[in-house]
Amino acid sequence: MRFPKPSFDRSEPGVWVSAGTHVALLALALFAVAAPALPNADEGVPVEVLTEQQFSELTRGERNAEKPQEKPNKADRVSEKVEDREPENAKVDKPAPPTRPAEMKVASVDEIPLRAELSETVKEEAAAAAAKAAEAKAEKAAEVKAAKAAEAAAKAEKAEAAKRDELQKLVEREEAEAVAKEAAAKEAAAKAKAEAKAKADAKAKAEAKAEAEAEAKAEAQQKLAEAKAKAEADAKAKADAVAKARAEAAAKAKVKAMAEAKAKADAEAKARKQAEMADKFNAGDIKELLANKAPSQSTGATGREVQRTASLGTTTGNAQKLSPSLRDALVGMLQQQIERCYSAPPGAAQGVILPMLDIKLNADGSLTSEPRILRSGQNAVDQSIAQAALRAVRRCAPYKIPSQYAPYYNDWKAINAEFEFSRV
Amino acid sequence: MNPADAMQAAPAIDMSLFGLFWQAHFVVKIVMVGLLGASIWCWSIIVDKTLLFRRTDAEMDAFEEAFWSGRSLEELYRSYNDRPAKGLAAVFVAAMREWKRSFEGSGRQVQSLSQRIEKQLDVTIQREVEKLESRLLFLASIGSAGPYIGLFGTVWGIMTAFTSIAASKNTSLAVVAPGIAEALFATAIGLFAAIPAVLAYNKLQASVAKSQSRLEGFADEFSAILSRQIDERLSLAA
Repeated sequence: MRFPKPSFDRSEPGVWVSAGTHVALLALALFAVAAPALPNADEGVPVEVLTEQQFSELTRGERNAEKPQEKPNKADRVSEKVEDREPENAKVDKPAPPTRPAEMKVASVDEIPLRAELSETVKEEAAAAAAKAAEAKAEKAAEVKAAKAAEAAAKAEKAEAAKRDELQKLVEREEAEAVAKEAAAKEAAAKAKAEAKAKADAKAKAEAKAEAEAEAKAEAQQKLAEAKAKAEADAKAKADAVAKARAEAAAKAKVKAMAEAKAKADAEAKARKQAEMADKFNAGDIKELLANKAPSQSTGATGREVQRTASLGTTTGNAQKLSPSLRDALVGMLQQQIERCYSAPPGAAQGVILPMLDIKLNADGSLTSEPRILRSGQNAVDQSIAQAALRAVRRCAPYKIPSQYAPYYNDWKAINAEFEFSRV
Repeated sequence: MNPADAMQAAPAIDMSLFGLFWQAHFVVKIVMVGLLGASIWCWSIIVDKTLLFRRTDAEMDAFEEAFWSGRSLEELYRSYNDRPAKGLAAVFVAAMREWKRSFEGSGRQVQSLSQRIEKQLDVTIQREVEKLESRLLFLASIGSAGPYIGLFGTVWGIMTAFTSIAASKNTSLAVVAPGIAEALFATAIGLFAAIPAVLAYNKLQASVAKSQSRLEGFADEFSAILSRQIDERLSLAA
């Protein structure tokens, strides 16, 4: 291999051509082909790392539960106080009636449609009808009244005129007496003359008076007659006007009264509502409200006894499965223990089909429920063998199960296995 | 992890060519530079060889025309002997030189002349082909080894990328991706060098084979002519 000479060889320009091309390409790539701006690094899927403990807690529970517990005991701790209810009391606490929160105290009162209002409108209409009737009556009554009033007025005028006359007379008499007295007092010396004169004067005066009286009477009578005529005419007109005015006034007054009554009724209703609500208001409202706002600090429910089984699951429910070898070993162990209690039925030699037993175990190795035969042969020997095995299972009941199986309890709490026992 | 944290953890990555090169590990840098040099060298070979083969073809054409134009062999020999001959001319000159040498001086060594001429032709052809073929092997090696060298750089780069991921304790794609992109850049350069090398090697190799067959054909023809001449001279002498 020859390395290129530093000088330019015309017959072999390859190195220079190639180097030049590469440099040009690189320069082009560097400057012309700019790198596309990368978008901001956003994580597409937020990844959260779970510890194994957290995962097992997540997946905890019984997977093949048949149905939820009927009476779920939700207690996490034993309660300090034991609440014993009287037997006559309900099994369940009655839920407290929903109370109105304190915030909506008055604002909603106006919005509550009042029933009174409805009846009020009906009443109003009735009242209006009544008012019309009343108006009509009032008009009639007014006319009658007006007539009566006119008569009364006329009588009153007469009476007044009579009184006035009497008064005048009285005044004149008094004056006259007064004058007479003065005269008597002042002109005591000249009694005789004065008496005569006075008598004469008095007579004259009395005559004058009588004349005046007569004149006044006449005039009064004239006036009265005129007044009567006028009054009768006027009275009719006035009576109409007055009656109308009165009717209107009465109607107005009624409407006003009704409006006032309504307002009063509303106000009363409001006041009653508020009073009721004020009565209903209890401190529990505030307490509940505050409890709502505060962060929950529950440390779990309390009850008479602590719930051992998780809802639809168990506290050991990590869903661990027995490996086949572990399962075999367990079944072997059980078989060994059962075999000790097993006594073969007579003539069990011909047993063909091994009995399959369903054994339900507690965590401590005791039987949860009666063992069952899942499958056995049809002939008598097979069945007797199966029954003998069942008896043996019952007799040996608390089984010793090594603690290493404890985490797998879910898997071995129900064991369905074939057992083969030696004919002892 | 929070995307914001991931953004903080992930350094700003320069995805330009120069940036990719500059952020790479030292070993990866060496691989990249080496591959770039190999690419330059490959292309220089390709350019040189292409030019050489074109020139050789032209010269062969010209010589064949001159050879079959009816001029005498002596004349041809004299005209081609002066300058350094190539291709067919070199073969012709070598054979003629041996021929001349055999008839020079007193003794006529004609007995094994045709054998000697054939040996001379063979050697000359071999030399010429070697000249044409030289440096083509470099193309072949770059063509086959380039991707592997690039891959080595990539593997190394990914190793360091994973180490840095472990150091930053962050599995977000933003942290993983730039390192891998950087590493893959080495493979890209390897392929950039290897692909033209392979193509050019095949093409040039075919050209060499063609030239070689042409040389051999001419040599056979020429040796036939010379051996006829030798036989004529031998029969004249006898």
